[in-house]
Amino acid sequence: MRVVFDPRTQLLVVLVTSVAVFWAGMDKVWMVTLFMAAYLLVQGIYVPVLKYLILAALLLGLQELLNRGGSGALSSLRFLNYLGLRFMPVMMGAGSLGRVPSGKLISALATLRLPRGLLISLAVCFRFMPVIRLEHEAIQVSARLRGVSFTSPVNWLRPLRTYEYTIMPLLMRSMKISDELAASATVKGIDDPGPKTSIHRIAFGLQDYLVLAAYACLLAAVF
Amino acid sequence: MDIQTIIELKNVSFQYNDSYEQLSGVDLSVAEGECVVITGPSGSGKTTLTRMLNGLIPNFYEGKLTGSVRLKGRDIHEIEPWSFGRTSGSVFQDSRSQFFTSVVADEIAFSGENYGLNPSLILERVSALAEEFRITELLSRGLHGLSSGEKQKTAFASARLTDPELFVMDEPSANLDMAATRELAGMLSALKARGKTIVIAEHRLYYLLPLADRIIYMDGGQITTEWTRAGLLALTSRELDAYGLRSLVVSEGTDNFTVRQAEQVRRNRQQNPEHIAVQHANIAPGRFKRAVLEDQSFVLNRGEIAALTGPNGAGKTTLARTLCGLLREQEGVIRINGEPCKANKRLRKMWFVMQDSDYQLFSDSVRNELLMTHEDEPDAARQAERLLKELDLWEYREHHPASLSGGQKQRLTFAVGLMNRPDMIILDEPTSGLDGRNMRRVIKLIREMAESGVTVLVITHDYELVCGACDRLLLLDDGKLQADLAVNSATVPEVIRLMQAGK
Amino acid sequence: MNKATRLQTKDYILIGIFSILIYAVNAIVGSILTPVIGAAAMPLIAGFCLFFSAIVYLVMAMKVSKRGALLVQSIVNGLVYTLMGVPLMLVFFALAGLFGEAVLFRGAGTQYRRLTRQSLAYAVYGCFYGMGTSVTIYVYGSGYLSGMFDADTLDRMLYFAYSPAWIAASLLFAFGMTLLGSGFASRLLNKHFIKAGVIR
Repeated sequence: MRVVFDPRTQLLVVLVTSVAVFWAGMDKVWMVTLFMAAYLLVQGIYVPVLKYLILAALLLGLQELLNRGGSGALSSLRFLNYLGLRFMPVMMGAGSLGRVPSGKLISALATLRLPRGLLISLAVCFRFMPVIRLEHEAIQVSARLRGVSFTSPVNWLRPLRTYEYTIMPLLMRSMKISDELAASATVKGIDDPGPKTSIHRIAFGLQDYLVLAAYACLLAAVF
Repeated sequence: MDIQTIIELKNVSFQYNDSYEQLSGVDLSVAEGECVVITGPSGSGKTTLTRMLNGLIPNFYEGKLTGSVRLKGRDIHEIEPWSFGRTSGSVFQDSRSQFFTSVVADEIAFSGENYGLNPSLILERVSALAEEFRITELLSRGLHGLSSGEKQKTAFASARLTDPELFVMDEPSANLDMAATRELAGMLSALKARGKTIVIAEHRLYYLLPLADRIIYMDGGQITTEWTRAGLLALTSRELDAYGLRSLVVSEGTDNFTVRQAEQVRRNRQQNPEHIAVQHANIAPGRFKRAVLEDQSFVLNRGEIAALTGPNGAGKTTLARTLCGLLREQEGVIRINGEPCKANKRLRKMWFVMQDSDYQLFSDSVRNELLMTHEDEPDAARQAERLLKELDLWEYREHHPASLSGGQKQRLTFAVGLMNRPDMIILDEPTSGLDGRNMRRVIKLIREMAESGVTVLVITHDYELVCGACDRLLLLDDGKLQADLAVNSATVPEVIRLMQAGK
Repeated sequence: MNKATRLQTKDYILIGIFSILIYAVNAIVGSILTPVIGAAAMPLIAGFCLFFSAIVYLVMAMKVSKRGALLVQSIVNGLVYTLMGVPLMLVFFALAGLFGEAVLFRGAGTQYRRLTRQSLAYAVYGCFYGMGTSVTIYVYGSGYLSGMFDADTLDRMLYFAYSPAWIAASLLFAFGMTLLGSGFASRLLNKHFIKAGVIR
């Protein structure tokens, strides 16, 4: 059985968690982490939960080890470890939010009355995250052919020049893509001032109320 | 019943604000249900003309517009910029930048959502369209990983959502292989059968001829000639060449002008010494990834021009990257001139010209682009000058590469490669989207490179290029080299058959 | 406001794409430097990120040349961070955007094309961005000492690395680095984008 939560619920969970981990005592953070694990499991997310829990266990173990050590050099590691533990539930919540298809997420944000232009920018953001990576890789392939990429250590001696070769084609391409995308969106009526609809139905269901209530209870127990 | 005039252009002239391209004095009238093909050399104004039909001009691309443009009787200035999508559906060339969303279903629904159509109506149309195009299983897939044929179908479905009367397309077959192009032709005939009006700007005419009612030829911003289907087919090969057009039929015989021209120049390069040898190699896209090709061997002789073809995903690009040294071969040996050559050494001896030159130009002037990595070579400047003059780029030597036209950028990437005096040059789809004249120019360049002793490997779906320039065809499919045959007038039918197979 | 001064769809699209690029540059520079400089000098990392992302911002700013571009970019970035679980950054990003826009506010409209003004705006933005990253870590790390039963002097120093005094110092660093980055960026702008005619 897989429960699907409204994206707004998921967003709320993430926001609340990010505040909760800050306020909770360090000894109570594990409770929140477990709740998040249950939250993910209920959505049918299994393998990542395992990874998160194993990571949490490792960090806890590392914490104990470092506490006993007390050596100065490891203090930054200890600090990072601490941050990691505290942040773990938030990462889990964000992981769940990240699985929402971007179209649905944008529709949900639209119901929250975010300004239209901002939603366009955000939608394009999501759309282009993987594309930018591919573009970058394609440019790096060429850069390697020419011998100017970062993979060749000699280029680290001239970091500014190598950076120029890395970023410049990417910026040119992005401008071009942006123009073409805007033309395509225009032609499909994105500027229509009337109300927009969405093929995604955004509505709270029983599961949303339940999970929020459960979370509220847990937080009451924590504080 | 009165047939409506859907499009009417009267004495239309247009000049872009920030570009030299223009239209001058264009008159055009298209009736409902007609299929009109617009062709002509690059820069002749075909794209500009299509932009007038979907509102991009004058609302998105600003400039000076004179004359009258009417769609379904209404002047385009009276139509609100955003409502063009209700009456004209557009399909563009580049799938990377024509999709606004990340998922197939969302993309098809996009225009409906923008116009505030009822969601259940949109969903109904989305499933109907998906069924018609046979992409129902792809509906929840990301657009990212689709093949170019699947992307084109999505773009098509997306244009059809608002059920417009007019369809405007700009080189829709540019990135498609022959099989996908066949499917595109099928989708277009379905449209025609529904009585829709279609205007297509294209270089590849062969797949459109069965559908086209009129073929319009543009040059220098004006419509200079117009043919009917029969009229165009009646042109001789020499006339076609003069117009700079690509061949009209996938020719099975030898009366294709390009092929005959090639015969005269082609020599029996099998007699040349062995140059690049691949022996029992396993090729994979990454060190720990699964091999796409196993235990393959083949040999290329010096100065040979070989075509590498096969369905998308068969491993052509991976093989090309491995030959160049960008990837390491998992097993086996690759030899150059008899000596085994490891990947990082090969990197210096090979050159790869990508499909999109934008990824390969880094510098701020044409001349600097060539001199970029040759700073400590004493005669680099002289060689750069020679190459630029040969490739017709000398007068642009101080221009920024980004300001060159597509064809010029491509020649610049050739020049950059030749500066390295490579043993082999690999070209990835060098002629996709090129008109006839520029395609022949590329063929000539490839032959000249081969004459100078460089071995050339061309990855392509373009049968005209294969027949016109290549000595050999290598077909990759299902993890193996399925065919390796010489290309000459006797084998052209087989070559074309193999290229049309596809998946 | 008419079409020429109001942000249009194509501007929002450009801003969306470039926000990702800015985010990517910041993230990559950040992830390269964090293991090298470590937690001790983390407040300084922001300065380096800004140095490299200046060119991306300036290209976007010069292309759009309208009021609101910087604010939209910062809010989009802030929202991305929020969705990733760090909503505190949104506050800083919004502030950064507002102060940056304030620098660009005065003028008839042509000030958006002036490189010096835009660089200054981004530098001001940069301060707040830097502050944001430091403060976020400060806030989340604030329970650190209380969790330790033996406060080592180095640990205390580490903690105070995020103290207000340090943060002020890192702000200046961020400001300076952004200006330097803008200088580098303007050279690139002239050499490439203006010469090629993609930006006037």
